[in-house]
Order: sequence, then C-alpha cells, then structure tokens
Amino acid sequence: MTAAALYGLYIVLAVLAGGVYLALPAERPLVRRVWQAGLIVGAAGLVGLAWWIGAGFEGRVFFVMFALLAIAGAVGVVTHRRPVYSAVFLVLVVLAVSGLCILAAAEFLAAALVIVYGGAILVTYIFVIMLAQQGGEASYDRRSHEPLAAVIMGFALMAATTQAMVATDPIALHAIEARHVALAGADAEDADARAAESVADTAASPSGTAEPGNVRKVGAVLARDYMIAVQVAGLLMLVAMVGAIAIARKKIDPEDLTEHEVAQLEAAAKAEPPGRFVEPFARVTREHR
Amino acid sequence: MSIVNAYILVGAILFAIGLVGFLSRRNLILMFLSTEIMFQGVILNLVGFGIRHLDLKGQTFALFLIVIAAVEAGLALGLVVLLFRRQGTLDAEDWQRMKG
Repeated sequence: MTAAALYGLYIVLAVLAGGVYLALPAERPLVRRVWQAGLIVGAAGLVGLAWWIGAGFEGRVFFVMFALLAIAGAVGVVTHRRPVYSAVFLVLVVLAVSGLCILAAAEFLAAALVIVYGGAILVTYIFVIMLAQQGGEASYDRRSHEPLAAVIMGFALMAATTQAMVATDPIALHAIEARHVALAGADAEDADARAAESVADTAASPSGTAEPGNVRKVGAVLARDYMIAVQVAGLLMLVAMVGAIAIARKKIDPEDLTEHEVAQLEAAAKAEPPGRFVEPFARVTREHR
Repeated sequence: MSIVNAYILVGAILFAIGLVGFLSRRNLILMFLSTEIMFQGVILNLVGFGIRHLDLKGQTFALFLIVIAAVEAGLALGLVVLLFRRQGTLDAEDWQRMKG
C-alpha cells in the first residue's frame, strides 16, 4: 500500500515537473498543448492522491479543492509571462491557503493571511510592478534562466521531502515492521483520531461560549509565551520601515551614474517643460477663436 | 496516512514550485513573488505540525512568519525600485557584477 502510494507520488511529481518545465517561459514553439496536458494530468493525479491521503477526514472535498487551487495558482505565478498576472495568481494562492487554514481550525491565521498578504503585501507588489514594468511582456520574461536545472532541483527536493510524508514508516523501520505492525497501526490510528477530535472540537466551538475561540486562544499564546517576540517583531517592522525609506531616498554620487541614468537626465533636460503648450488643447482654442 | 501528512505534502509542493520559480525566473519581482509562494508552503507546514502536536504554537509561528514576509516585501521592493531606477531593467542577469 505504502510502496504503491510512493511510486504513484513519484509518477505524479514527474508529470507535474514536466508540465512546469514546459510551461516555464522559453523560446520553444509547438509545446503549448503538451504542457497543458502535463499540468492537467499532474493535477488529476494530485487529486487522486490527496483524495486517498485525506480519507477519514470530513472536509476532504474542500481540502482537495483548496490544495489544487493553491498548487495551480503557484504554477501560474511561476510560469506566467506577465508579472501582474503572476501577482494576481499569488492572490489565488493566498486565498486557497487561508481556506486550508480554516479547515485546520486556524481561523485567525486565515484572516491574517487574507488581510496582510492579500491586502497589503500584494498591493505593494502590484504598485512596484506598475512603477517598473508598464509595458506587458519584457524580453527577460520570455526566456527563463536554466529552466531544466531548476525544475530537476526543485522536484528532486519535493520528491525527497514528500516521500517521508507518504511513507508512514521510515525506511529503517521496515525490517522490524512485521513485529510492530499491530502496535504501530494502533498508535497511528489513535493519533489520527486525537488530531481529528481536536480539530473538530476547535472548529465546533463558537466564540463567546465556555470554550474560547481560536482568536482568543492564539492571543493567549502570543501574550503569554511570546510577548518578547511580539515586541521584537514590532521593532523589526520599525527598522524595516526606516531602512526602506533610507533605500528609496538614497542620493547617488554624480560620478557613479549609470548609462541609463545619464540618458534619462539628458532626455529630461531636452524635453519640453510640461503644462504650457499641449497640442490638442491648443488646436481646440485655435478652432474656437 | 493522516490529514497532517496531507498538509505537509501540499506545503512541500508549494515550497518546491516556489523554489523552481526563484531559480529560473529572471525578473527580480518574479523572484520575490516566488519566495512568497515558499512562505505559503512553510505556513501550511506550520499549521500541519500544529495539528499534529495539538497546540497553537504552529499558528503563532505562522503569524511571526507573516510579519517577516511583510518586512521582506517592503525592503526587497524598495531595493527593486532603486535598482530599476539605476538601470531601467528588472533583469537579474544585468546585475551579475556587483560593485561595492
């Protein structure tokens, strides 16, 4: 059972890796259909795998849905040729991950994700993209840097980490598995039942009743165990704000100007001063005179 | 097989996809967007392990992770804007030679 799942996982990951490789921007004609097929097959395999893994969990329909949305969004971010679309795909990933957090009874974390990521960080990204890259696809977005090596590296890491999740027992324990199988099975089932129970407990208790809600519990942990860390986090944000302002207002030594900056300065000096004589308005006033 | 494993599996997949993006994209903004995907994977890991150990420390750490992500985005994007002002391109390969 475990071995079958493991090989299934490897096959799914390989198909997904092929899809991502072909989807990464590069100057290759004729492969669009292929990568779409690879991504769809990989996604379908992941659905099956997640369905099988999530057996016994009540919300597994939602789990599979959100997991697929997150993975599809992540592939979209990594492979899209227009940065604005990538940022919008990242919103999709954040929403899917916060859905997964709600399924795990982490409501406060889900809300914080949507507010901070979807509301603040993504807006900052989109602002910077608008500032820096107004005109569609740039040449460096049409060709990626060593896509094959990157995909091999990333998906080898993925296979190495996920095999530990799917293989219930570490490889070294297989030799004595026969002796301990009954015990281990009972243990695992027990732990699963406890986890499911706790999730159900936390999820079922609305705030205001005797059992405190998730926000109150997280707040208690933050204020009781991690008070110093909270203060340090605040200080870190202050330092980062000062640093960001210092970076953005940095004055550049005139001798250090790059060619681009020199060209910009020259163009600005040559250009007409704005706001005095704008062509369409000039024509209008002339016609109406 | 438990739901914990499923969370960690999805987290690992997100992390690896983000890693692929960080290694292969040449646009500086896209590289930082890929690190945000890796952050999402780590958040899922923390939540999954939080279920496993039946406490809230995972979620608390995830909150700190969000703080770090916000700080990183602010600073990194400030740097990206500065680099763009200097050379008019976001291509990481144009900044291979650094000058102190």
